[in-house]
Amino acid sequence: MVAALVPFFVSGYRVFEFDVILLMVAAGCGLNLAVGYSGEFLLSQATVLGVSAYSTGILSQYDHWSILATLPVALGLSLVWQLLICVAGLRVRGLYLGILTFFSVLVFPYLVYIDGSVTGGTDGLVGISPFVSSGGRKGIVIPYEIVLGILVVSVYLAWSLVASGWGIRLRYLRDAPNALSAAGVRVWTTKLWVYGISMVPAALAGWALAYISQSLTYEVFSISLTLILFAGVQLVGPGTLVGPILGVGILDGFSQAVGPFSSYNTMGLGLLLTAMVLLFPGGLLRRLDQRNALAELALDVPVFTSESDAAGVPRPANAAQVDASSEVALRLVDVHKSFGGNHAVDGVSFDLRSGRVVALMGENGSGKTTLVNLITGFLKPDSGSVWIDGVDTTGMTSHVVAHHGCSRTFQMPQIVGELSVRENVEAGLLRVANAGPFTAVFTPWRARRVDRERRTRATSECLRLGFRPSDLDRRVDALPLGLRRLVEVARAVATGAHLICLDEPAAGLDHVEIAELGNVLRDLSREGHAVLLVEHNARFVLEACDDFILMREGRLEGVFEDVDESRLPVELQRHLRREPERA
Amino acid sequence: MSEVLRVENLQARYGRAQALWDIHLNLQEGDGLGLIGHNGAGKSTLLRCIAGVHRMGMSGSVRFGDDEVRGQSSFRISRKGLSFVREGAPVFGDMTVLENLMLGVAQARRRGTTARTLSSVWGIFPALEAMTTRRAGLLSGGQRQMLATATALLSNPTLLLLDEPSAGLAPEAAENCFEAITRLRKEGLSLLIAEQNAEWLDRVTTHSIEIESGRMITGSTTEPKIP
Repeated sequence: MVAALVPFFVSGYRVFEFDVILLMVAAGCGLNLAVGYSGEFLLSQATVLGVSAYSTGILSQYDHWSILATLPVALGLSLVWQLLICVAGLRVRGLYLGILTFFSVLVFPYLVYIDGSVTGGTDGLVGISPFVSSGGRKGIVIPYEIVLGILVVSVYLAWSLVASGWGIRLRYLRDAPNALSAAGVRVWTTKLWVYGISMVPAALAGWALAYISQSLTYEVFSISLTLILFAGVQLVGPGTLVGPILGVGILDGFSQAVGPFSSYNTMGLGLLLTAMVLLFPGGLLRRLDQRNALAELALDVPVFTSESDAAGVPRPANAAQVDASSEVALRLVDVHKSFGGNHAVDGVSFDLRSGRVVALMGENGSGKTTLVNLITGFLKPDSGSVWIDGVDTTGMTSHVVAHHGCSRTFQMPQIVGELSVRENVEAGLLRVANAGPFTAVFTPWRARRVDRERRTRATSECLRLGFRPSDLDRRVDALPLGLRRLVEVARAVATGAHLICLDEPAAGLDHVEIAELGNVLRDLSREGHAVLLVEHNARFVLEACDDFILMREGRLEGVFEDVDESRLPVELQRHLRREPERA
Repeated sequence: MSEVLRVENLQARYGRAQALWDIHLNLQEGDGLGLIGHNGAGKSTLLRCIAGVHRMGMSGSVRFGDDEVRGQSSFRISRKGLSFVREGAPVFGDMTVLENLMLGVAQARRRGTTARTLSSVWGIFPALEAMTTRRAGLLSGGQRQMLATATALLSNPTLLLLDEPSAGLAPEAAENCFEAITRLRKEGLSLLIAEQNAEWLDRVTTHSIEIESGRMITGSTTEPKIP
């Protein structure tokens, strides 16, 4: 609103400077989708602007394309450039991706040099005229309203995506990509969308920049601009909508105020950045936000106050009992896996039938978690095969295994701290209930409908696991470790998978919570699910599990079906440290 | 018997909201105090406050030995002889098991006390002996828990703070661990422990306090002697 009024108060070159700031803020909003929300360290945004601006400039100046004709070409070429630069991101993350994309900033000037006769080389490309085809209005620069429009589009683009299930999907990509994959969402497709979408505002900004400045030099798209965009996103509030607007606004505002080519520009920017980092490590907004989040934490209401309370939680009606006990949900045939010389899993074969809760037990380091990783596709077996619901899933990647009806939890919870309990559980439903990015942006009402459906399902899943309705909107980083495990269980169950692998879900839970978890496992088995439970808590497994699988040094020590606590096999007695029953 | 830890009127906040109210407790040499309470009641916060990991908005007094340590940073407090094994047992993943353990030895050396011997640690966690050269990042969850506890024990602390030490431990390993801690406690180690598994907790503690919503609701710490 304030921005829209600015041209009425200032004029001439100031309006131009202001236009540039708004365009950079727009580009920052796009970059924020990649850096702030998705944790993809792209340093190439400035060169995307450059590619878009130069292609617009060249087409306009030499081939006299109209302003509307250059737009799709600028967008298309920017996309090609972006994908070319970022393709390495499909394999590497974090700092490595940062280094790789930074090369594009170093290479960009040389690309301009190579064909100086077209690009203007070191002299720059001058005299780009926006309205050549409209006749009579030659030399009029692109109206301020279009610049404002680009900003609005960019902010809307970011908002509409983040407000839909993509907000959850992107944050999971950043904080818990393994969990995303375990929920059946393909990680690399998510990354490609991020690269593709985050470049759009920059391409639009580059296109407009070519017209408003009417001349281009490669120096505009250099390290300074990279710094402004990246730091502007990262410093104030990465992963918030306002963050890049403030951050890039401040930094680029400073840059325009001293003059982008002034020798004090970079120096001043450096000082400004140092000051901001010292004052607000981790971002200004995050600091404010954290106060609120931690304040929430300190409310510290126990999730279950008493047994009766836990029992009072409304439960959704159980699905009709399924008699699927004969069906084999999981079959392992002579599975081997070694790391170096260490045989972590050494020839394991067993069947797991539907409708059973099976405890996978063994000493620490006996290969239980490795086995879960092999089943769920996070590791590939050296030899042997894994069958889920009669399908050979050996060697399939984790998200494909998830498609075949297998979900899991992790020993160290893979959840997104800044999301609420409910949103984390929604992540398990992203595969089946999430609008595509185009739906989210162009028909947001449809996306909202899908969002509502997903939210309802996640809510009922949470309530079933014993979370109180008032807890559903609490941030999970405010929860103790034990309850974070429970959030993961809810997410795994929400996927609707037939086979559910839980890696020590009860560690750190108190007896009331354990009892509730036990009930849920019983319900699941009645509904026909098969549950594989890695767990050490003797009381819990004896109460919740039907069958026991005991591992020792990567091998099966025994499989015990229909175990009765009063007649515990001697191996289990030994493992669980139970005294033999008195006769 | 000398007093190892005295906490008086301890309050702690996260931002504007209060997490702990009026915590009083004291520990004599060789005492084992268990913290009981629901998830989220404030047990971990209390341990973090005593160890100096959480320092925001604290008031009251935490005396460790003869020193007032409230507000001091965790590394200073640990140099006075307090070891804290945090929830989820973080270890240095890029270092080998032996290098992680040596951190405990270095800590003891720094304080001028003798570290416990490695063989005493192998006695408690035999599984660790076979994997001294393995990178700690490759350990399983339970093995990591063992390593973190072992490193803390090596530094020969006068006070040991444990947050959910049984999480991830197989029954046999947990039994070994708790037996060893009980033995060390009888030799004079003081212990403050938060643990959900009541079976294990009863074995190592001499008394316990219950915390609910940041307040002590029942407590039986040793009563301060009135002269």
